[in-house]
Amino acid sequence: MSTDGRRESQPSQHILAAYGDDDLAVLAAETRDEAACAEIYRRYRRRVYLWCFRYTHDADEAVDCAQEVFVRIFRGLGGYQRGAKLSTWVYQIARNYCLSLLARKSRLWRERLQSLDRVDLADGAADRRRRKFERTESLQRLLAAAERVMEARELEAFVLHYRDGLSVKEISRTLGCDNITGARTLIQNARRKFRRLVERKEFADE
Amino acid sequence: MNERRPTEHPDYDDLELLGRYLAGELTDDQTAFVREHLADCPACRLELRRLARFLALEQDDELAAEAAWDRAKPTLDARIAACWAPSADQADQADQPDLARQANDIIAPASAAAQLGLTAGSSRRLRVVPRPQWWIPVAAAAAMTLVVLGINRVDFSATAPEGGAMLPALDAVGPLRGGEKSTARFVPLRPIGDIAAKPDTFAWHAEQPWDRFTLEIYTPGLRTVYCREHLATTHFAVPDSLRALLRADSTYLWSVQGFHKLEPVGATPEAWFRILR
Repeated sequence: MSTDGRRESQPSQHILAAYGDDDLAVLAAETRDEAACAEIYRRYRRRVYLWCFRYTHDADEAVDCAQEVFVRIFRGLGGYQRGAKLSTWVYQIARNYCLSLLARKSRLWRERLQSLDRVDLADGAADRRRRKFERTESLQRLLAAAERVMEARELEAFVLHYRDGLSVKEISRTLGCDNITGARTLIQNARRKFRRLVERKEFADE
Repeated sequence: MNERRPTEHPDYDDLELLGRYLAGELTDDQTAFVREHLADCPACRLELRRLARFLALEQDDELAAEAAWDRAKPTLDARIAACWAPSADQADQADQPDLARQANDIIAPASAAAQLGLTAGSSRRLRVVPRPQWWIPVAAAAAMTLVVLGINRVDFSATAPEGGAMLPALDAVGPLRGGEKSTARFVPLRPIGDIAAKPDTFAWHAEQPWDRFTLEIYTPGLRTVYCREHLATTHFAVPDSLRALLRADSTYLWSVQGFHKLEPVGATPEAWFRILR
């Protein structure tokens, strides 16, 4: 893959199709050639789109999202390091973009976390704790606390459901559960433990 | 690879190692190291599952059917193709622009084209600035003619507000952004467009299943004015507290998100309204 005489020696699309992922990425990074970028797009469009759909739950939004991911991929080709795995690199960009999208949709978080807390908190002290919990904006802190009380797989399901906003079915696929009931049980257990955690004075008064 | 909580992301070197671990490209020593680390690090375990899931999406026909991939693919292809433009040496030979291409140029977020700062080594380059096209001045002249001819007949109550300059996407498709979505099952009903007085009710249409809604009202600058959760009906009577927040001659956006058993099942497109007095 000499870069000399680049314009004359650009491989055609059917030759590019035979390139390994990582060679293709090196070619695209060195030449920024449209055909090479198009080949990367062709190989990853389905995965990126479906990845985005997991987060957006909407086909049109997923198209917007996938387009932005590919724009970032093409723009970031200059930073691609020879020897890195293209699939991991694409994944990283898609993951970061989708999570940043979620951060902008933080109201989903608010909605979900508050819905967890349906316990009857009638007395004044408990109500103050509840309000304090609702004011807590640090998801990092909430999840760090959750980690102390949940099993590993429960915590994974919890994070995927409540931070990444994935559907129960998608969590079932990601965690390799036998069926959707398995994932739902994990989430329910995690939610129960999390609710108990919220009720605990030591957490609420932190 | 240091131990991290599940909420923290492994850095790129960690990810690279995990990717090679999944692909079976590590030496025995490296593999043993990764396995040992995975046993103790929930963040990397979760990241490994995520990465494996990403790679497996290529074969996931079930999710592809749910996500209407066959329908989305041509749209995405056209959007990506629109990110590229013929270089100057090909411009003279370019065919006349076809309507589909023009439509995609309009639909594609401006950021997609504007953010691309690359130049290609071959015959085409990533689009940085839309190439001037012969039909733009023609279309502008035609639009001006229509405006001049129709200016006395236009019902200004149905046009976008002055603040609409901040809302080009709204202007392009009328009062509803995303109203063209074929998958939208949630539709805002009122208030929409210019209204004479502060609204009494927010109403929307939603198809089952849903069990509650979240209504959010915000400014064009995306500052939330009002948010009401756990609504169990497809309408919302405006309380005095909200009426006090709404100002005359201001533009507001609103949308409703529907939930069913904790799952978000859809959302209305954004709608705007402006209170005239």
